[in-house]
Amino acid sequence: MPIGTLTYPVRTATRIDETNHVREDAMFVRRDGSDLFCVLYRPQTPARRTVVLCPSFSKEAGMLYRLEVDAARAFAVRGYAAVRVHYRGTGHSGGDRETATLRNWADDAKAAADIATELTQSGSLAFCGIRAGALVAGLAVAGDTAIPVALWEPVSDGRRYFPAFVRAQNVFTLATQGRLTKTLDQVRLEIETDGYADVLGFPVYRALYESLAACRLWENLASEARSILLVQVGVRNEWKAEHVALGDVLAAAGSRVERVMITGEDPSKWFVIAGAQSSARLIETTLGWLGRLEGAR
Amino acid sequence: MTAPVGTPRVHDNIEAPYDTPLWVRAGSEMLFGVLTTPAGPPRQQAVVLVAPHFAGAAGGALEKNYFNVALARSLAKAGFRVFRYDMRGTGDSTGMEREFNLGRLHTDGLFAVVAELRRRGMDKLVLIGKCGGARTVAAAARRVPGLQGAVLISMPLLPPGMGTHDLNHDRIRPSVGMLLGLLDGRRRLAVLRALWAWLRGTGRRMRWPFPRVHPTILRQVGDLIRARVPLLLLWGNNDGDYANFVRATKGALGTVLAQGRACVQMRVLDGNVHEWTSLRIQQQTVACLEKWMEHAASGRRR
Repeated sequence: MPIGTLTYPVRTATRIDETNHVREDAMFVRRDGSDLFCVLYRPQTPARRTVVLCPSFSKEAGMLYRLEVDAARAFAVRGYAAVRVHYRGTGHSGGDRETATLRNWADDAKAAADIATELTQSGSLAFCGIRAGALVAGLAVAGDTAIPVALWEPVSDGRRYFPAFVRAQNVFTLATQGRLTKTLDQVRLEIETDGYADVLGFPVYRALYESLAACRLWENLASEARSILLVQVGVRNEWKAEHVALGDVLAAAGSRVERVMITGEDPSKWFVIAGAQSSARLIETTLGWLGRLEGAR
Repeated sequence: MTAPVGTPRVHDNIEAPYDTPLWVRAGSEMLFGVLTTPAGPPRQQAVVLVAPHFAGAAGGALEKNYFNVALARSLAKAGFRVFRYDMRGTGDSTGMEREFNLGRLHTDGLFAVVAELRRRGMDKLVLIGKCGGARTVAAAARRVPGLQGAVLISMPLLPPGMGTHDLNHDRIRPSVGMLLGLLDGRRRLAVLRALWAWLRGTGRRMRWPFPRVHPTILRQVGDLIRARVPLLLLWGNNDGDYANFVRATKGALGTVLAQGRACVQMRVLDGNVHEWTSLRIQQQTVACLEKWMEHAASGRRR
């Protein structure tokens, strides 16, 4: 069945949970000549809304993978459809990673949303951006006022994400090999000269680097008023300046911003240490917000 | 099949025209996996990639830096069908796994996968396991019919039942099974050493001073060698357990491996194979496994 340049399903595996009857369709869909992998979770009853989960990337995507899966399953148990996607060139998806940009990945998220909408017959969407996935979600919903967005420990400024990524690499190599790998300037030079940099075994190509450097979450989200859930996950019980500024800018632009702080988990671990576990509070908080969206309709 | 020298990009040209998602029932859980099929007629041997049962949160179908995706597609280009899957409680599979315990390997999941692949006509299998997945392969190999080869990548030599990996604090902690080892003459010294190290290291990352390889591990490796199954032991010289492995090869493990002669190969790559923290080491690992698969496939034909 074609949707623009999209053909689905190409190959699908389905399971229906024996206890909660949630249906999971893991599928490869054909898009622009390559396979896009996504998983759709459907409740037994007609979906109240479809949540599109936009994952982070690099090491974080792996560390937070299970959180994403658990969240999608929990949403479906509570009556919401959910769809997860692997952006082109990442995970199980095919496609050229060398030329992929945040904009391409936002298109992939929108393609997953189209498939979910078609298969669930539910027109109401919400996007959920996880860490750098918030930048992707922001791009995907820009210009559409009706779509609410949940932001989980969002990266609000793409320029600041890449240096954090390089720092994580240096912390890792310092801990395991007793030395620093590369300075930020060296990594930038590598991208300029070779077209890519190898950061902890993850290739960051020039196209992604440049699109990341140019992306500001508040610019994409503040163009339209919408419902926004801003969740900060951290160790300390105090708001980060980055999130305060983001919330204020979005509220000033007319969005209804709900701010929640979850303490007791260290997001710095999401880069390199296999310690990040599913946060039940994070999922429950988002479910509460989704419920209030239904009440407001 | 390998990328040209000087372009260490294992992810080049990643395309997935042959990937098929599958759910495999293993007891009460459903394991998610992806079968990669070559474009042309497949070769006789199929490959199963077996990950640790806490492979980070992403699961074994992907592995760190999507290494298993790159490996599966590279081997498929060489004509092999490759199945990669998420262990119970990881990735897209169902279930819960909050600790890494080498006393509780997920061999049941591997047997379920093997049965499913045999049902689909793949009865000549090569198992490639990494870290805890290597231990799973070693433990299960004797009971896998039609086994054509086994690869043990960066296999930890921690004795079974010696505590669990506390993921929240990134350290090993004692378990009941470990304490019961005090009653076992073969394990007593190791348990005492481990307890001492735990007491010293509480709150910090521990080091495990095991001087000998546990008899269970020796037996499992020995079984593979006696069955004349082609065996590759692959390490990176920056792997955390590599020094322990080198020490072990000077003792009983070395004696067992020497009995394998032509069946056993050992390869040590320059870098960290356990974490695959550079594109170069990923590319070297893929190249090494492609080469060994050719060797294993031709050897078993003879």
